[in-house]
Formats: sequence, C-alpha cells, structure tokens
Amino acid sequence: MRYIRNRLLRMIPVFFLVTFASFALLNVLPGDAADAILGGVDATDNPASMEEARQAIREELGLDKPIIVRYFSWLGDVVQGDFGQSYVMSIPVTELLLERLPVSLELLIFAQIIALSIALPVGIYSALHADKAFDRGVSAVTFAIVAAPPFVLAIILVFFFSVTWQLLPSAGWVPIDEDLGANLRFYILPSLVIGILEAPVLIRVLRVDMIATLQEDYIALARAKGMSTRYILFRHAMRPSSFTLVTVLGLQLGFLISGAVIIEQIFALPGMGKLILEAIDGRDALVVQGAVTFIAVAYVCINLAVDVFYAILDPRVTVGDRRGRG
Amino acid sequence: MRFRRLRNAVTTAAMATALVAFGAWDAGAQTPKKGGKLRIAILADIGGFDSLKVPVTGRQRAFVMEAIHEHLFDMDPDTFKVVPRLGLKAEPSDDFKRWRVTLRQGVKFSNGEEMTAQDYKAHFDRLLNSKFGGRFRGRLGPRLDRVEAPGKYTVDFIFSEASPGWETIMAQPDLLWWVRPKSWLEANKDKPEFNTTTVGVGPYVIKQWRRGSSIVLVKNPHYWDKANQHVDEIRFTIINQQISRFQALQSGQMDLVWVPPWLKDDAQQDKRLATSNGPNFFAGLGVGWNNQKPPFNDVRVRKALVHALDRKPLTGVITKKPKDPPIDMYGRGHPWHCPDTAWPEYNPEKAKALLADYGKPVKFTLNIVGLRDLIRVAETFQAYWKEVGVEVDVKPGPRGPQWARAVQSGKFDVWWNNYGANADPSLVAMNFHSKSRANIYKVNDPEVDKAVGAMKAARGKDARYKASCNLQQVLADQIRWLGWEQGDVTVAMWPYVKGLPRPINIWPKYYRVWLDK
Repeated sequence: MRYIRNRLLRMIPVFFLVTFASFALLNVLPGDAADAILGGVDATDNPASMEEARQAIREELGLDKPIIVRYFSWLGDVVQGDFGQSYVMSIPVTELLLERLPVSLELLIFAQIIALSIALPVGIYSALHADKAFDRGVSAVTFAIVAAPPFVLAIILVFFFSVTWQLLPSAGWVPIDEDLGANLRFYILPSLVIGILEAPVLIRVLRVDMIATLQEDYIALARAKGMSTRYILFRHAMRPSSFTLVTVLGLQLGFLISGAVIIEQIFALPGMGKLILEAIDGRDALVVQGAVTFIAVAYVCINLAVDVFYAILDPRVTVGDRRGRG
Repeated sequence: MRFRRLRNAVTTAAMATALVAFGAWDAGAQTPKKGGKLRIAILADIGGFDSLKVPVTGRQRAFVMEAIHEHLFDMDPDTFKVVPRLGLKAEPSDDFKRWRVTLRQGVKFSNGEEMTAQDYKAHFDRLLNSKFGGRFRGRLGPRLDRVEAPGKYTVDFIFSEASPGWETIMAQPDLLWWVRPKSWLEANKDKPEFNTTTVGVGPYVIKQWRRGSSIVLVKNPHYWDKANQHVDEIRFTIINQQISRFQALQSGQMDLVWVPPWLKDDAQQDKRLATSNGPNFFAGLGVGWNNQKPPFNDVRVRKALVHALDRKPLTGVITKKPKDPPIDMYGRGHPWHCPDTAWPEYNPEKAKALLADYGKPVKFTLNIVGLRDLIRVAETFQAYWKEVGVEVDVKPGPRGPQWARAVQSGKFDVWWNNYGANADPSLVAMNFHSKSRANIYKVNDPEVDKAVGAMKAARGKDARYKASCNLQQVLADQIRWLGWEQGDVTVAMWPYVKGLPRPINIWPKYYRVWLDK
C-alpha cells in the first residue's frame, strides 16, 4: 500500500509538469481558439469586422488573460472536478473524453488480442527453434514490419480488403449499442494494423527471454525428468520469460490509451487520438488539457499495474523492491 | 418491291420498338424512387447548429445544414437563372437599397410551425446584432443594415448601399439563410443543447449527431415540396482524410462523395463510379499580393510576373491535364464570365525588359498553405519566375484558420490565394475598391475605383454584365491579381445514385437524389 501511495504521490509533479508544458506549448502555436471559432475567412469578409469579432471571442473565453492566470484558473477548476468546457464545441470536456475513450479502449483491446495472438505462438516457437530457418524467417519479417511506417500497412490492407474485395469498411465507426456486428467490422482493419505492427516487438522480447529461460538449470532438470516440452514451456518457462513482455505491453497500452493517432485518423475512428488532434488543430486548450491529464494518470496507473503484475508472475518479487527476484 | 415493303415494315417495327423501349427507359429513369438510405462522407464535424457559436458557413457544416434549411431562391445549375423556393418573388426598390421578398405561404418548419416573415426578422436580428454582426452584415456583398417584416409573408432586406445582385446572392449557400422559427429560438436559445439540435424548413431534419463520428438526418414530415424529397435517411460519416473518404466510396461503404481536384482523375477512371462536374461558384486559386507594397506597387513588375508564366501548362501541374487559365474571376461556364478579357501573354523576353526598366532586383516570399500539391504548384511558379531573374522564396505555413486570418489581416505581402465568392460581381468588387473594408489586395487605384463605381451604378443584367467585364479588364490590365486555376466541382457516386443536380459549388444538392437499387 505504501508503495502504491508513494507512486501516486510521485505523480503530482508529473501532473504539473505535463499539464503546464502542454498549456505552454499550445500557447506557443500560432493562432488560438478564437481563430478556430471564426474558421476560414472568405474574401468577402472584411478585416475590420473580423478583428472585432475575434477580440469579442477572446474576451468571452478569457483568452486575453496571461497564460499563467489561465493555467491556474484551469487548475483551480480541475481540483474541484471540473475540466471546463470546450472553447470550440461548447460542451463539457469530461463529456467529450467519456465519448471518445470507449472507442480507443475497444481498439486497444482488439489490437492487443491480435498482437498477443501472433506474438505468443511465434515468439515461443522461434525460441524453441532458435537460429533455425523459421526463426531466421521470423526475424526478417519482424524487422521489415518494424521498419515500415504504420500508414503503409493500413493502405495495403484498405486497398485489398475494402477497395478491391469490398469485404470490410475502410473508414468510419458505428457504436456498439447501435449495431454490434457493424461495430466489430469497423474495428477489424485498424486492430489488424496495430496488432501486426506491435507483434514484432513482442515476438522479439519473448523470444530472447524464452531462450534465456530455456538455458536455466531447472529447465535442464525438468527435461532430464522426462517432462514434455509443452509442459516445460507453459508450466516452468512461460512465467519467468514474461517480465519484459509485460513491461512492453504496459508501455504499449499507455501509448494506445492516448489513441493511435495515425490509425484513428486513417480509419476515421472517433477516439482519443483523433480528439486530441482536432483539439490541437482548433487550439481548444481545455480539451487538450483534459486529455493530457487523463493520459498522464492512465500512464501512471498502467505502469503501477504492471509493477503489481510482476508479483503475480513471480511471487519472489516484492513490489517496490526487485531485489527479491531470484 | 416485296422486299422493299418487308424492309420498310421491319424498319418501322424496329423504330417503333426502339421508341417504346426508349420511352419506357426514359420514363423509368425520370421517375424517382422513394426510400433508401444515402451514405455520404464529409471531412470534418460541423461544430454545432447555432451560428453564434459557430459563426462560419464552413464546407462541411454547410453540407449538412443545406439539407435542413432551405433558401428563398435557388439557382438553376444549367441556365443559371434564379428560381423561387421559399420566396415567390423578389422586388428591388429603385435605388436597390431595399429588396422585398414575398414568402411562399403554407410552408412549415420541421416542428410543425408555419414559416412567416417574423421568423426571418428574428433570425436576422439575432445575427446582425450579435458580436459577429459586422461579419454577417457584409458577408453577402453590400452591407445589410436590417431585415423588416412589413407583412406576414413579406420580408424586406434593407442595405446601406445599393445591392443590385441580391436576388442571385440569396440563391447562394450561406449560414445567413439557416433560419429557425422565432418562437423556437426564444424558447431554446438559453438551453445547453441549443447548439446540438435545430429546426428548419428543409427536406431533412436532424435525428442524431455523434460528435466526431456521424450525423443522421431523416425526412422532415412537414416538408412543403414532397416531390423533391426522396431518400428516407441521410447518414454523414466524418472521415478526415480525403483519400480515406474516396476509398470509402470505392469500397461501397459510401454512396456519394465530393472529390478534390487531385482525385478527380481517379474518380473518373474508376469505371464502377459515376461523376458529375460543374463550375465552382465559390473558389478559384491563384496568387494575391499587396498592391501598395514594393515591388507590387509598380505595374511593370506585376506585368513582368505574368509575362514570365506559361499559364496553361501551369494549370496541369497537379492534374497533368492543362486547361485554359482563368482570365477573370468567374471562370469558363460561369454566367458572369467575360471571354474577351485579355491578359498578358507568355513572353519571358518582355518580362525581362519590364524588369530591366524597373531597375531594381525583384525578390519576395510567396506564402503558401503547407499542402504537398500546392507547394509543388508554388515551386513551379518559382521556377518560371527564376528564369526571368525574379527570386522567390516559397514559404509553407500552417493551414486552417490561422492561415486565413494571416491573409485577411494583411500579414502577408504575397500569398497563395483562394479568391472567394463570385456568384455576383458585387461580391467580387468588394475586394478591389480602395474604400472597401474587404479590400484584401490593398488596391488604391482611381481607375479601378471608377470601374467598380460604374459596375455598382449599372442596372439591368446587360448593363451590369458590360460593367463587370470592364472591371475585369481593368483588373487584368493592371494585374491586380493573378489566377492560377478556376476551380470546378466534382462529385463521385455509384451509378444507382440518380437525380443529382449539376454541382455549381462545393455543396452539391445531394438531398435531391434518389436511389435506383
């Protein structure tokens, strides 16, 4: 409990640092929410009227105040549980986050299922047959996938599955409560892209850890006792080989909870990543702040959960003191 | 003889069969089917329905709003004649400072309330007296002072100066025409959900809005023109990427999308799809400059810059299909186009001579939105100008409102230009008169002012056309702007989508289509 409390206390400076940095960075960008609200300007708009309108909006939103005043005003509201209202959309930020979060979470879950479904069997098989043809082939493929930018795979999948064969939708989203089947169909391609892109890293770390574990004396003893390979793998080798895998998974979860920005953009999924991008584009500072705060908290919580999970994987590990790991 | 008779009989029978078949086919093609769901992809969310919260017409917003609301008048896309919709007739006063519109009777809003002149007055009062009042007043040409309702079905639009083109302007999409009932406005304006829903007299009504994802419209049960209301539901999916939007059409997920110029060829080459194309009443592209800043305050430099360009090949930099470059602000196919307007020809030697006469080195920065294709075009301009010794630095900048504001506030001396609404010469003239608040090119030229004045004073279609062409020629003689390409509009759809009126702006009238499947 003390460990968890300490971790949470350590989050306070992280929170200040992250939120102020994002506030300041958004302030450095040219333009502000007033520009976004006024939108594109037609040639028929006259400059004087536009400037008057812009000033009126800035005053109404408090954008004419110094950044430090705005930051502490926002902070004061946050400690009372109020994340404020979107400048551009005029709705509470909390409402916006709650609308978008489930989309990113669903994508995250499906992508992880796909990544693990690929990584576990391939990683284990590669470790068992290290430096054989299969292992070398997997290495080549994984390096190629890691080197490729995410959008390339997305374009390839969309070209074949959507444009050519018309099997799956190329972009868009239907909520789960409206049509479950359609909802799942919209997630197949984006989840596949993320899953396929994440799997190589998981395969690599699992393979390396598994090879190391399989060289341990207790594995040799188990083999000498005549235990089957499958039994040795899953009963004795899998858990100690999962530490790095769990760490990487934790980091990837933290990354994905903020939304896989590019994938959400390509597949038009209205998740957190798309929300942040739209908010930055619209200089919607309060939405960016709300999202950044949420992501910072989520990151800390996920990493905390990963630490706790270490103890489940190996009871010799004491959370907060890794010296116990044998 | 017998053979000839037989041949005649066969021919007659074949012709009769063909006529009957054609008639049947024709009748089938012309009889719209009712029902079905139309799926359309748009690029961005709409922000909301309240024009004081979202004070922009916006490409995507208008896409949705134009189906919920309806105009007083419309423009026939083939003849360009103004045709009545909610307004039966529009009569100007002698000085064109007042336009009286007689409303159609019996028209109801989607909440069942009858539409009257009071609704127009309340709507315009709210907009014109708001903090954005200045923007709204001058938005549609000559400054709109106020709107009055002298009778239940009579609306007066009163201007500070003559507005001879108001009838045409009324037929153009703009947020000023998204009128809501007075009583509904008063009852709902302070509610938090005011920006998330709306009521209109158009063929469709909002059913659901999932922010950032989709918007669903269904038939307005009280729509007055049921013969022009076909599909049961329209679903807009928000897809931010142009290419993803087009792929969503190709994948069969969408029925219809608006296609940007750089995807027009792909759309036309996909034999599974149908396309519809028309002149764009809203946008042309080119270069704008501050006519008061050196070296652009010297006509020799401006002329040299045009002589240095081989403008026809330049129009094909992106599409690989060069076309005739714009010679006025309307483009070919536009009712106000002036085909005889003469521009300086491509002649690098003349350009060099003019620059030599100017006597100083010409060097400037061309500010441009950081889009890959536009940068390519700008770099081609740069290469042509370099050939005659003009040094140009192409500077990509952020797109979106920041760019628009920078252009509008006069931050740039030279910029890549979208030369705006051109439905009527009175809109175009605003940008060039020295006293106009919308003079973004900073022109201060008595000859231009005189031509603008003559155009404003002209009455009657023929006189206005003549004065407008004269203004265009003055602008071309003085090179007050430089057109690169007159935009057109392309809509791509599946062949079962029928009845789409020819698009003449970026908001095709998709809500008139019917589905033959």
